[in-house]
Amino acid sequence: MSQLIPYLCIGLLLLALLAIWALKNPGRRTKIVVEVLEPRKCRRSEPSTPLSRDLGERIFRSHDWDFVTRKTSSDIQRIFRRERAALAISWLRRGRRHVSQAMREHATAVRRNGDLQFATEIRLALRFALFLALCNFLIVLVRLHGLAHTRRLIEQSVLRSARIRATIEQLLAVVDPAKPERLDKSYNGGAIRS
Amino acid sequence: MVSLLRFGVFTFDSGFYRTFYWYTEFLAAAVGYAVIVEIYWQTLRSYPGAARVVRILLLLVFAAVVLKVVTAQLGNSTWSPSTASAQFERNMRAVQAVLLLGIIIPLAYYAIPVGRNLRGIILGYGFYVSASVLSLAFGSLPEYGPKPGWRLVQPVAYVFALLIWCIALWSYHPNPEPESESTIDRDYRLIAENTKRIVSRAITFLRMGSGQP
Repeated sequence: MSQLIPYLCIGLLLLALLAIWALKNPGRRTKIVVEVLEPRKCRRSEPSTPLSRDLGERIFRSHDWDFVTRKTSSDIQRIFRRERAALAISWLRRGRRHVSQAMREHATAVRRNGDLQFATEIRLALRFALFLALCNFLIVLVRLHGLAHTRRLIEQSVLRSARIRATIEQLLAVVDPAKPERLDKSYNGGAIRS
Repeated sequence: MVSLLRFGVFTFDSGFYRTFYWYTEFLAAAVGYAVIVEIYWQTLRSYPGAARVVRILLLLVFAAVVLKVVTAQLGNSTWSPSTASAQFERNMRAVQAVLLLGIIIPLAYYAIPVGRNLRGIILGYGFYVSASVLSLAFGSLPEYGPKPGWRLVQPVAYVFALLIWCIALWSYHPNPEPESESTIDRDYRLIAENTKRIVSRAITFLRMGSGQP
């Protein structure tokens, strides 16, 4: 029975993809995409980026929450939590929309370009998939647990990954003393380098 | 035509029909590759960039299939199509399904406009191939093989695919010609770098915003 699984996956994947592709109607979308090719130039000179770092930090940081918990009643705290979660979800959705639009513009711009590089396209698609996964994961977390709890969960996971990294470094130091140095160089504080 | 031939064989020599049916099934599956090649040429004629992605994807699929066939042959020297007809056709259809996936994913990703005729051909054939893969997968199992139920799926899917083709091809709808885009001759590296920067910056903001270092 296990030999069936790859065939079932292929068959069902093709069926699902056909349905999605048929419903999306790319013919209608092309015109919209062509219209947004030019604004890409203008957007570069805009003072504030659509996915604002300051706004994101402000929404997720705990300063405002600390102030509200110290100075206000529980009713106001509840309202604050609800509003801040809605704001965070809206910020994440806005970012997702903006990056998806950038990817659509990219696809439309390069689809007729003979210099297109397969490896670059795959890397871009994977990076975009990572962004979508992160974004959707955060949206689900904020929806399920609220903003404060989400922040705590992320902090814990970051702490855990730092501990794991430290353990791996110790292990590598035992196996090969040159390895931890290399790991330090390749690790950029968890940030993804462009 | 194949159906007419089968009908002739069934009328004159019903004993030979069963064997003849399976051999003509292989023929139909082989002809199916021509449909996929035609879909590839018709959809990506005006899009060299996307065509390059599809070509590499199809080459990867081809390489994977060759590797699989070679390893299967090395592992099983007594294999023959007559003893494993359902398995053989299932594998042929599965490869077709993967090839179609290799065409449809870039079509969707690059938002390539497709005319009604070609869309109908892709949808009808895609549906038939996926239904064939699913039914033949069950049919190749020893406990399902003798049961007649799974054999019905393929003819029904075929009729349904013909119906889709009939509706889609009723009148001529050419593929939309790509609009003249003055910005299209821009440097690919520049476009890719810009997009990469936007996505990377968004990921960094997301990490910083959510409190990750």
